[in-house]
Amino acid sequence: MIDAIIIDDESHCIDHLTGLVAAWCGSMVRIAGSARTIEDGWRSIVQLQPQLVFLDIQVKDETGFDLLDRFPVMDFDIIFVTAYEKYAIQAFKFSAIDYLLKPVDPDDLRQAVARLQQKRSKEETAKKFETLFYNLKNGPGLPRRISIPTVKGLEFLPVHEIIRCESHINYTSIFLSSGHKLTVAKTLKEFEELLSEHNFYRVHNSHLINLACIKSYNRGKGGSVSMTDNTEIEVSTRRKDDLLKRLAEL
Amino acid sequence: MTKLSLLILFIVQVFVCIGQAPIDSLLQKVRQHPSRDSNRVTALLKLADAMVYTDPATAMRYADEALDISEKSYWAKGTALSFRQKGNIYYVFSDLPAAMDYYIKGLKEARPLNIRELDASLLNNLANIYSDLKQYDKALDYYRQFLDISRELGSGKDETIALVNMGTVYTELNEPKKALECGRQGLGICRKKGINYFIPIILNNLGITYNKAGDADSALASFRESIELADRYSNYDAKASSLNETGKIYLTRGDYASAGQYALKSLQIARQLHSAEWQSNAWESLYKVYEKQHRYDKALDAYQQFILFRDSVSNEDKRSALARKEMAFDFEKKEAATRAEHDKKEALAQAEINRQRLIKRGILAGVVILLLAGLSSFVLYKRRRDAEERRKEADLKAKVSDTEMKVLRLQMNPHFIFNSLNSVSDYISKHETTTANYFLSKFAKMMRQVLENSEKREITLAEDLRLVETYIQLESLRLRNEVNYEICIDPGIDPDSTLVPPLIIQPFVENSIWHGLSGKTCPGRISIRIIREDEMIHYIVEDNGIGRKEAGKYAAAGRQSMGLRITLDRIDIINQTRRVRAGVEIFDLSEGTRVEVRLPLELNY
Repeated sequence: MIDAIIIDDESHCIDHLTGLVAAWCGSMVRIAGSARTIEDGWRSIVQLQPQLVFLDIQVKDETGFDLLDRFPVMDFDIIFVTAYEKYAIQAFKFSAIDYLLKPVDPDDLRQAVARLQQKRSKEETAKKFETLFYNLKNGPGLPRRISIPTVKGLEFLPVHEIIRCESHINYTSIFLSSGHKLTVAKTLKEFEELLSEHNFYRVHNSHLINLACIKSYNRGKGGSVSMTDNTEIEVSTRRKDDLLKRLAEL
Repeated sequence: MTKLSLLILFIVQVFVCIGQAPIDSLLQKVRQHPSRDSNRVTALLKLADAMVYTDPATAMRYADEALDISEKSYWAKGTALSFRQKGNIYYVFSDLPAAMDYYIKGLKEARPLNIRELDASLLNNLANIYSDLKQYDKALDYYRQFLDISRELGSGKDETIALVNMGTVYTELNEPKKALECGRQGLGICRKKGINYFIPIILNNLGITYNKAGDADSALASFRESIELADRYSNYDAKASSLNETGKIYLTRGDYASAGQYALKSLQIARQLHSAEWQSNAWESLYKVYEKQHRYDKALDAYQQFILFRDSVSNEDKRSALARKEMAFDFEKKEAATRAEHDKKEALAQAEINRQRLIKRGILAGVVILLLAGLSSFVLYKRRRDAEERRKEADLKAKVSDTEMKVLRLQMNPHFIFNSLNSVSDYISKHETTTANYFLSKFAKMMRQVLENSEKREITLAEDLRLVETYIQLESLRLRNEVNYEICIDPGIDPDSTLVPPLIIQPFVENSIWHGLSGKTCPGRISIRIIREDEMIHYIVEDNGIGRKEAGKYAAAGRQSMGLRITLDRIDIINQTRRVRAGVEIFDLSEGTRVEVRLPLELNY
């Protein structure tokens, strides 16, 4: 049984989540308490020593991250619960940290709790949070780093070091400016969604490229682009016009 | 050749003799005209003319002064006359090229003045020089011009001179017929016009020509007449020549006595004339006569005299021949130089013409090229501008239709939200809180998806179908009866790379559930099939509901068509911007309804 507390500034949200936990995963999680301010939350954590905290991001004038700053070492798990806050969601996605969106879907809740069971190394969790805070500290702009779960473990990369991604059905190879290559068990589409706002562009069914790393465009039916690592990437015919438009905007 | 030179000298003399007057009186006349005018020029030239043989150097000075005055006062006639005079003086100096030069200058100056007499004298003098230089064809050419002008002017003397000189040239060219013809014509003119002085000479020349042609009798007759008339007209050169020639004929006939008499008569006249040539000729005949008569001492004496005079003549001859040769050489050199210069000038002129032609052509070509370039750049510019405008127009159109689309999608949202809220409300009223809560959170999740997707103009078919599926799941929770659904995708379509406008078929699915299936008591079924047909994709939505007619009875008027209308508007815009034939067709089945939506197939990559 996991002891958990809920920190949220709205009581109906606390009640709703408490109800959901009781109804959908009452056998695994027990709500030990709740708090409606960061200060109260900090006190509750110190007093109750929970293994899990459901943490709202916006708590009155403060954020959930302010709370985490007070703990040099975190010996509890966190599931972020948030309403529609785009920049925060992007940050979570880049840090590979679990989050729930309000109103919380019971199935998502169950899945999030189930993932807690898979014990992860403290180191990895620390890294994830480090990435999260790094991205958040840079304000509501775009995240700068991305955590990538490779076969060897998590990698944390500055986005600008990625030159391009290449799809191999359910795997994706990531080519870095250092010359290294990472293989990830994620589809190219997932990376496209993450990175398209970072000046990445999918020029082909199996290629996602960093527009900042294009050396030149070579004309042709669809043409091709030469990247800074001297690879030549085919551009699909349907993408040519759009790509040229994007390049003109740079 | 000796005969020829005799004749030419004679011609010059005739020419020089025109207007002959004592030198003193001429000098007096010059002094009477001290001012530099045409009177002085005329006087100077007359004086120079009179002095040609006696003092050619002084004559040259007078001629130079005349030329200077004429040139400075721009008196063309005076200039021409001065040139002629200088030519005459050079001729006496035997400087034939210089003489020719001045004659040609004079001719150039004289021609525009149209003074035919002047032309005539210059042409004759030029012809004489060519004759001297043995350039007979040129000489004949000038003589003929001279002849033509003489006839034009009606000057019998000049005509005679021309004919006689031509005859001499023809004799030299061994054309006796032509030579005789010329001589006879000249003789006729002289007799008709009473120009007696020339008659003995013409007869002498005719005799020589006859003899050369082998007609000795005619020759003798001619000589006889010449000798008779020479006495009457005081032409002793002709007489000496004719006497000696007659003697030569008798010598060949063996009548030595007659031959000797004629030779002695000739010698007598030759002595009076102080002519070495005639004396030499006479002594030659005499020595031959004495030899035939076997009077050897006299023959030896005559021979010695002959050699003496011959040498002096031949020395003179040799000198003059050498001089002539040199002159001919100089002349040819000069002519060659002149020709070369002329050729060079011509070549230069031709080069200049070519150059100018080239420049003209270059300019023309340049202008043409410029025009063409201008025209083509204008056309290109216009084409480019038109393309730019078309592109802008298309961009604007796309933007407008994008905006319209967005408006329509946003209209979709409230419509969808209110319909869904109806479902939620319906659900809550019929179920307990926990399940109602579950339903609500599912609904929220779907709503989030709808909002995200409606931001985009196009989403992948996979995403669109996932949303439709969520929607069907949610609605089926609400319905009392179970809803079975199936979604089939043509294997020719890759749902991940096919782009569709979001939620195009949602209103049809909604209609099927709310109006087709909700009225049923038995389990409902919805089938969604996506097939590809050429460059189009077809959504086919089929239900086994109660059908449109039956549903119409329950449904409130107008509400049913809301989502449908928006979808039709969207398809309209697609048709306009993409020039395709997208559309919606609704079929009533025996049980239920079938809706077919055709959209252009668009691929992501």
